[in-house]
Amino acid sequence: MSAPTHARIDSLRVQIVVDASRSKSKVGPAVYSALGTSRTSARVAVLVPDERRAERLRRRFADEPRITCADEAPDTAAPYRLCMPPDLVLRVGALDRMVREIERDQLGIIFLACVKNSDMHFARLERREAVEAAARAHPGDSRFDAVDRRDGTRWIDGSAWAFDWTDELPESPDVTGLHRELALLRAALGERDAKLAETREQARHWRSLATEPLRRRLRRGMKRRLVRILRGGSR
Amino acid sequence: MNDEPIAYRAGQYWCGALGRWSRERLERLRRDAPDGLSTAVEGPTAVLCTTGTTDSWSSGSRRGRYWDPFASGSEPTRWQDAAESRLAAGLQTEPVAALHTDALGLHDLYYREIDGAVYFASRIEGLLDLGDAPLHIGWDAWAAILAFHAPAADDTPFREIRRLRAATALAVDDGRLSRDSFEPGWLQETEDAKTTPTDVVDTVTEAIVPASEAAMTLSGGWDSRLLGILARRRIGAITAWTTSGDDGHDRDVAYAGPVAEALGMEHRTLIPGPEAWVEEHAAVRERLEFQTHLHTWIMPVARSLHDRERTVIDGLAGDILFKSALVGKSLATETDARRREHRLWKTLEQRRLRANRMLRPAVADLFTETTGDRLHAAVAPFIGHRAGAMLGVLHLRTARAIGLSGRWLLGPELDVRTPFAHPEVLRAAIRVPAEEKLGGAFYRRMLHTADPHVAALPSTNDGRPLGARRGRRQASPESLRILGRHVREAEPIMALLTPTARRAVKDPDALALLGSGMGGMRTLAWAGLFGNWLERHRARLAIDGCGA
Repeated sequence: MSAPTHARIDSLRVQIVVDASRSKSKVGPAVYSALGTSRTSARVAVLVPDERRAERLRRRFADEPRITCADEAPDTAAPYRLCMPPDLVLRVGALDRMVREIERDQLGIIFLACVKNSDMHFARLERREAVEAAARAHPGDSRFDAVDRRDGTRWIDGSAWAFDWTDELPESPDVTGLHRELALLRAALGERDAKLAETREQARHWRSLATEPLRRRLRRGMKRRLVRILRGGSR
Repeated sequence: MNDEPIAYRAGQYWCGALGRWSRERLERLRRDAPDGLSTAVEGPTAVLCTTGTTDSWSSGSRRGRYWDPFASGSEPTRWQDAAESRLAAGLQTEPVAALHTDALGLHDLYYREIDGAVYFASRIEGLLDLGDAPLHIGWDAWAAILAFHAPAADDTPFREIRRLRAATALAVDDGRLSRDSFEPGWLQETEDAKTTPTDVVDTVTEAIVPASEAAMTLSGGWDSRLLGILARRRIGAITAWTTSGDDGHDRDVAYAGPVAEALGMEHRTLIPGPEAWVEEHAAVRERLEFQTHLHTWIMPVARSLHDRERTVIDGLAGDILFKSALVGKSLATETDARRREHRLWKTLEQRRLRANRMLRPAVADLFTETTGDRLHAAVAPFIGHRAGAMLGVLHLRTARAIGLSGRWLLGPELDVRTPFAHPEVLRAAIRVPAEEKLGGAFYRRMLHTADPHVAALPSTNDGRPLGARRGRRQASPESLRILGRHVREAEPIMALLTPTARRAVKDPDALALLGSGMGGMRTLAWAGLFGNWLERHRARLAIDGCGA
């Protein structure tokens, strides 16, 4: 029996920075939308300057290693960075579309403006190499102007193209029943895991027997018989 | 672009000095004044010059002049009287010189202190070139222009130039300058549940000065409709004028016609062309002295009115007084003065700072703090009153932002009459219990009392869903290009913006996105106005940052 296979883990493509430092919006919807709506491999850094709030969020997202919460984003090797506020949630496939767009036209930054009545939010997808090169070449310049000159930037309607508003999401459904079901499934899974381990042990035993050379097996059989004879047992 | 100078046909320009004034500076003040200026008062401690006329009052050893009264009535006996019961600006000449504004702060009375003297004028521009030292940006005023649509308290866009506060006089006694304020009598009024719509309608009717003919601005709302009904009782022939308010909905145009027809008025509707904002914004900014970015929409119809009419009736303040406009239930019923003040700030600010994504966070924080301080300075004399929130809206929004269009776009070419801006009408408004006004219940009864047929016609107050804004002239591609240019060419303003917003004002696609909703448009319109002002006055200004 072969070893269990894992889904192939893509190398990290996008670091998503959710800046919650000036927003009272819930962070969860934006964070989960960042991780759960696209095929593109992503990690999320939630920016919170307040350490107590950061700790609270760390505990909340403890089961998801792709999320960090601190006052600055960790350094990653991701070639793209999406900066967004927690007031927005990514739509299904939006991140994939944005990455395709920025790659296809080799843009430096895609800016997204989301406008709703008297409210407005900005987000942006940066090609990090472009932003860093522009910053190196024009240290005193406004960095986005430098990116625009070097690689080009594009403005698109974020509301039409990529984001919904967190405060317009439908109320979360009551998931108490689902949690109960999940607990039962987990218990069942534990039982099956135990059974699987036992079966594997048996299989390992028979496999070892099956693969033992004949001469060694014969010798072991002879030994066993000899021991029995010497102890005065039956032949 | 139309850059005709302001013609003081009905309203007047005035200027003068108080204290140890210098002849040389007074000459500069006169030199920068419009034609037709004559000296009304000249003494060792006070000078008054005007293009129009003033009225006199005297009582015992006291005497003085007053001008541009909002309310008719008997002759005043003290400057406080002129300020309150006539809502006039004026100059007490005996026993001490005292320059005063009206008790609601409706008059634009700007002044500047130089070398122990105060030089004053009805226009900021008259005071710009009096001193030799450079002027400075009035950052408090610019923060308030963004938050409240106009400067607050005694602020103007220039730090050195102040606007005289409501119910206040600048006095000179023994060569020393001092400020003297009084509490208007309407602060003694209390709510009276026995006040009926008929009482109020009668009071407003009394405030309409009889005339043989007049024009009026007729929107789709209730104020002009009520005045239309009541003006028919006092004025012979009335022509109603309606225009497109550039709000992207244009309901005024749809609703005003049936009202004018029902009132038997001649009705003229003027729809400006798609580039009217582009054509008029510069003239409007000059006329309003860059103190608000509102009102550009009214200029085309104002020009037509200048050409054809002499007197115009305007519904300024009606909705604030009797519909509790802007003052919602939680604010109207708040009993703690400190909390009332904070709620009033939120009501006037309307998230222009709290939800601002274009200003750097430190700038938004600083503006939040300074506008709170300036609001406090403006409302401290009356915020403890039960009607403190309504009075706050009248002082900060009606007097400083909305009233500018009557004074400087319709006027001074036209004689602009605003019957709601009258002390007796204000007293009546304070007597009506605040809770009865909420949601327009009391106002509907007023309209029904005045004319049940006209009251029943559709209006902009009926709460129909508005849908998306379309075709706003102030957000046309050319308008946005002009706004963007004024922002990006002004480094002190670019320094206030986030890197993303700085990039946005340089990109036509981004400007179109910002212009598609109020969230972006508010800040862009403010920043464009500010940038244009900096460009206009660059030679006079020593530029300093806002401190954030």
